Amino acid sequence: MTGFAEFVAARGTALLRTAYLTCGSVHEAEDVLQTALEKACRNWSRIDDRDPEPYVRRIIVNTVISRARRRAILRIIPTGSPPDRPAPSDDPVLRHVLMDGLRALPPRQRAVIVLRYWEDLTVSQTAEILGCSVGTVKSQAAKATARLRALLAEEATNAG
Amino acid sequence: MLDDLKAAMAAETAHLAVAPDLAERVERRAARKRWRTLLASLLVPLLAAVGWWLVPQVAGMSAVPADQVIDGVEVGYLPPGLTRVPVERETEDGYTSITGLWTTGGGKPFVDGGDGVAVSVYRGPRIENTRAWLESFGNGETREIAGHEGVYSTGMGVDTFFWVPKPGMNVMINTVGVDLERVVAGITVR
Repeated sequence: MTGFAEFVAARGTALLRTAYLTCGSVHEAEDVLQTALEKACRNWSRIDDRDPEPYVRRIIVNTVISRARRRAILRIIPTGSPPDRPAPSDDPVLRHVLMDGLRALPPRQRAVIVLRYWEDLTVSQTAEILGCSVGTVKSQAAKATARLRALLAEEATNAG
Repeated sequence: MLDDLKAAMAAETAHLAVAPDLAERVERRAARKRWRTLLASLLVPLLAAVGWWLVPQVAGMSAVPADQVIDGVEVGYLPPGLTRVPVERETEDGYTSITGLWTTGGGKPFVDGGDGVAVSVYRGPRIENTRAWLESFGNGETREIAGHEGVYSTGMGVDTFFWVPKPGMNVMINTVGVDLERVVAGITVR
């Protein structure tokens, strides 16, 4: 298939990182990425004349959100899933606090943070991927950053 | 703080990389799925017709019990042995949702190894029966089940199907160990 293998070789790891940050689990990130790439592969003849990355990224983010919704409904696993592995002990405290805070956010807020501040997408690009309004992206980003700031302040207080 | 966050995300993901054979595996799986989809497209109309005929015979034509009505949606088929768990109403990004959950012994599917059916009704002004909205709500394959055109997905033992029976309303069914198609076929929107 023309271009598909090259696309995966070039952008696969970046997309895996986005998937991991959005869902918080390496195993699930790999599964979500594979699901998204399969869908892209089946539709490759229709999408390879334009940049396929936004299409795949959109599938990744929406798959993570819909799986989180399904888990919440069936009450199987809390939506703020723990990390797969403990972070190395020599990592700075700040990183732990921020990443723990990111994992604890509701799935859509986490997706907004990853798309806006990891992928550097604009508010309107983020809204398009999530299928919501620009206003919703702004309010979700504001709530999420406020929660992260509160966590940092709490950590500073505890450290002091 | 945002610079710190980005640095933390970079450090957290630095060790991740895809397997060298990922593209090859994906292409193989996609090719297999194409055949399955083709086969399913041939069988679905037949199975749907059988389902539409069979479910009223099994479930009877009488109204369903009151606890099998979720926000105006009748759940006509539930397998025996499931117990209703209290309904919860929640709000998610502009949708109002209410879920009816039936599980083995009132327990938790997966955790207790039991079966489960969840029927969720979402309402909101943005809900519309378009491909764009369906994709924004959740990923999966476009599929017709029991006469409803919607989105189907499966994973971690859970089968999921959702569709928009009318503007402003989305119905989502999740099943664990239960025939999804029979549950969907038993749904009536009042």
